[in-house]
Amino acid sequence: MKLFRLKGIQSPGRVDLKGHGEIALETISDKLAEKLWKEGIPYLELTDKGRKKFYPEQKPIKVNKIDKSEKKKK
Amino acid sequence: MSNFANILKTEGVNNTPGLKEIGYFALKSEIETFPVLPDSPGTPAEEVTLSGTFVMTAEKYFKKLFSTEGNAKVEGESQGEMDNETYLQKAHWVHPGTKAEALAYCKLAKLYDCVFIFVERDGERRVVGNTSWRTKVKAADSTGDENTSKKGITIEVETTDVGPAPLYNGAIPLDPTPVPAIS
Repeated sequence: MKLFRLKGIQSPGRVDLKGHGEIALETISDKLAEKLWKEGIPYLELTDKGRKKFYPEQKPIKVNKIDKSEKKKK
Repeated sequence: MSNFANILKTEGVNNTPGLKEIGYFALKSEIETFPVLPDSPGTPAEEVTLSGTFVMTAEKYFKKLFSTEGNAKVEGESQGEMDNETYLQKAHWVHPGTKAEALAYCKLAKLYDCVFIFVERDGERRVVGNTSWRTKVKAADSTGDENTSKKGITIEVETTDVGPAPLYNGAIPLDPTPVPAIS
C-alpha cells in the first residue's frame, strides 16, 4: 500500500470487513485500499503520493518568508 | 413518504438461518464514533442500515466472542402499548467453557454498557446496542452435571431500540495482535 496509510488505528490495522473477513489494512493492495477509502472507511488516509494521484490539481500552499528586518522594526 | 416495499420470496436464493461462530462486543465508553440510522432514510435498506463506522478511542478494540455453532441467535419484537411502542432487541449466545476469561466476562458484563455485533450466516452484520438505551446483559455459567452436559457460559443480551437489530456494513476494529478463535 503506497497511496494510503493508516489513520486512527494501531498498526497493522486489523479489522473485520464485510465481504473480506479479518484483514490487516496495512497489507492490502492500493486497489482495495482505494475501494475502501471511497466507501468511507475512516482508517485510511492519502499519502503524498496518493494525494498527487487523486487530487493532481492540488498544489502546496506557498508560504512567504517573514521579512526579519520588518519584524525587528516592530 | 413511507419506505414499505413488496416482501416476496426470491426463488433460488438461500435463506440460511443461524449466526457465525464469532461475534464481537465493545464497551460503549470506548467508542468514539457510533454509526447511527439515517435521519431521513429513502429506501427500506436505509431504514435498517447503520450509516458510518465504529471508531474506537485510542488503543481500544472490539473483542471476540466465540459460540458453538447452533447456539446463538438474534431476535426482536415490538413492545409497549399502542402509540407508545419501541422494539426489544435480544441476543442469545452460548460459549463453551468456563475458563477464567469466560467467568470474568460473567462477572463484569453487568457492570458495563456494551454493544454487540453478530454475523449472520449470509454475512450480514447485526448490531445489538445503541446510543439511546442501555444494553442489559444477563450472564450465567454452568459446569454441567453429566458426561453429555453443556459446560460453558450463556449470555442473554437485551436492549430497546426503534426497530430490529440494524445492519452494519462498516469495519469492526480489532486488536492488532490476532487472537485464536477457538476456546
